[in-house]
Amino acid sequence: MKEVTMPKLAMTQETGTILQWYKNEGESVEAGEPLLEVMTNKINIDVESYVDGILHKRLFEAGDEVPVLDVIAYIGGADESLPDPSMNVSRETTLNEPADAVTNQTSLDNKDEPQSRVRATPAARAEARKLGISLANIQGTGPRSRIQREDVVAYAETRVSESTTTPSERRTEPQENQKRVEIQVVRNVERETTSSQIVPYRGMRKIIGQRMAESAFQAPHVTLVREIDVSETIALRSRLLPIVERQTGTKLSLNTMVLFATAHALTKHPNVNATWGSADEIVQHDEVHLGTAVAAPQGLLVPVIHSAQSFSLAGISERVSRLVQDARNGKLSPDALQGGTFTVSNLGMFGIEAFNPIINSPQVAILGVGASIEKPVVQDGNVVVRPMLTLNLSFDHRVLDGAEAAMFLQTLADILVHPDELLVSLHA
Amino acid sequence: MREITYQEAVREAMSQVMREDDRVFILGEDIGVYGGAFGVTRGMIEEFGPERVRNTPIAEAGIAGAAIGAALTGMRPIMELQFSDFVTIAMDQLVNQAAKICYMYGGKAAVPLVVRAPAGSGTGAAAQHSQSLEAWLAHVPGLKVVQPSNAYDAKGLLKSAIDDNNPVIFYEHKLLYSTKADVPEELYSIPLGKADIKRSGTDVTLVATSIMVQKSLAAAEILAKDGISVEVIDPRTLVPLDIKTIVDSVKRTGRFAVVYEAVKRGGYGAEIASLVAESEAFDFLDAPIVRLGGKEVPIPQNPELERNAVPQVEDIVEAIRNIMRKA
Repeated sequence: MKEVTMPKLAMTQETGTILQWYKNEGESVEAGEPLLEVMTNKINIDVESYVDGILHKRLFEAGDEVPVLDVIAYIGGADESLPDPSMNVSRETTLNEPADAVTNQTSLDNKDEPQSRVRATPAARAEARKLGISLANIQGTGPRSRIQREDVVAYAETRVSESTTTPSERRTEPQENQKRVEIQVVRNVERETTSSQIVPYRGMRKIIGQRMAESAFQAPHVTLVREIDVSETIALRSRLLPIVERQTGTKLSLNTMVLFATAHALTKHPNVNATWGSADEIVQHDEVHLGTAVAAPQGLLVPVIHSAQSFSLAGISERVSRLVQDARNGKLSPDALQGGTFTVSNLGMFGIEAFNPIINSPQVAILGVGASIEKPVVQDGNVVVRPMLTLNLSFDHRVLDGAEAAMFLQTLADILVHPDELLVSLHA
Repeated sequence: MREITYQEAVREAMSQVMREDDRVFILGEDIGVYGGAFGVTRGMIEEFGPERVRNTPIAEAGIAGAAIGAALTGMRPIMELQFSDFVTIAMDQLVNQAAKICYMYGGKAAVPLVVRAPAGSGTGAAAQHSQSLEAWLAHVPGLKVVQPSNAYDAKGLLKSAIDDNNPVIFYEHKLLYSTKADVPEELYSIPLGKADIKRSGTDVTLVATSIMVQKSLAAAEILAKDGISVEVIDPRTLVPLDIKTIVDSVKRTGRFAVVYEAVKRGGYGAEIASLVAESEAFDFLDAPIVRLGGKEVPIPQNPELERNAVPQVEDIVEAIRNIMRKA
């Protein structure tokens, strides 16, 4: 039975993420055939099988992040059985960490390699280097079990006679795994005694982070802020609420009103309803595929209401309600997450008045919606109290100029301040 | 070839050089009619006369000072310290004058001086007459230090020492004086700075100096019966040191020990051990480097204690067996 290990493709690489398996358990594999796709910190790469055989066991699935050189699968002949102990070992060691998203940690990570603790003479070390053998596997016969040169030579000779595995495969002999487990266990014990916590930065959090950083660093963001009086929209919502509820069973929210208004405002501003096609191409979309940011338990998700401009207010309400529910239950289809042309992010429910949203690239603009808050405003020379809502439009200044973005914001504001216009635009 | 003793070999070298070169003369305590404390200069005053075989007062600083002065005037003096222990009295002359004059005068002055010094224990002469202080002088830049281990080397090395234009300390081990070897009658030189492999071997490199060479060869003979093959290297000169021969040997054998009679602490063997550890031989070491040296006590007069104070054949055998893990 041969081990498949997470490849180490760069000096500094510590883990790799399995993107997909090309083979299922039980399928036969030929040497040189792609077995799985791995994402390192730099690249995605196909990992080929070293050997012919049957993929007996996959220890990890797509999405799992695995330390380099850890065993991730077993390939062997039809009649071979899995080496149970070592299999369990590597599964425990590597799965433990992702399972506890938050673990205690010592102030200093123990960077000692197992090899540095091995007692060996310089000659033994030199010989082991020459032969590409890990000293960790060798039993020393010198004083206090010190490994001597002849121990390395003897070990190398037995290795040659019993297998033809490559040096890199030898590094992950079960014995060494055993060693790694012991070290891991010790570390975990140490972790429990201190109070600082470490949250692994990986998976969805990491992807969100990468995308945010990419967008923030690449697109020159300008955010326009406009406070509007939404008395009429709120009044309209109150009137429509029972109707929508009767028709769809969903509660019409102010956010839904904003989404509806945004979808229609965007139809008049195709330059804002746009995405980067390539480095020198902007695609202006006729259809509004409106993304709405949802704070799901596993992180930020942006499900998309496709062709939002074609929905009635009740239809939008129904659609948003379902998408939010699916997002929170982790049931969104990949389709529902793709193809957005513009995004609305509403933080009003948290009492946020204004903020600078980061563009959901490759889109070119995003609308941040704040809370509707009653404020004193001056109207016809009198101070009156009005529900005020802040609209925050971040746009990619490479694509749009301030005036273009402001004109879109103007259209949107007009609709929300005088929602009757919506009826007009609907028939336009 | 005829066999002569170490003592005869030293005398022969001096005599043959003196016959060829009028500038060479010897000076020291009781070296004339008495023939020296160990008989090395016996008969020389008859051949060369009191001018060239000069008896001196018991004043080592004065002997050294006079010798250095003579050397600076173009003579090539050989001074004998009756016991090498008395070098302490001549230390200022040797360390602060002889060793530095060439450097301090920009090479315009030379001190072609040989200091012969009987060293080592084994004669019951007690703590003030039995020391091995070669490391003290090897530490001083400008001094060369020679330790011949047999009659053949003694003659050839002494010739080179006399020919050298710089001060050379020539240590003769008292117990070696009576040992014999094949020695050519004609004058010959052995270059300073050339080690000699006294016995070839494959399992462990043993560097030994002076009388420890003889003891190491005896130990190697015993170990060979156990199937342990010891390579015995005699550096012959501590300064200059032929480290290459030693390093090459360690690369072949993978194990290294050094044995010297001087007190182990701070001894010259420590220097050789460090040089090996620093060298490319490091990667070939398959056991820790071992030093055998004298115990950290003044040499006792009691013969049994005296014997125990310095490494003996059985100590070397045991040390090598330990290195080979066969003890």
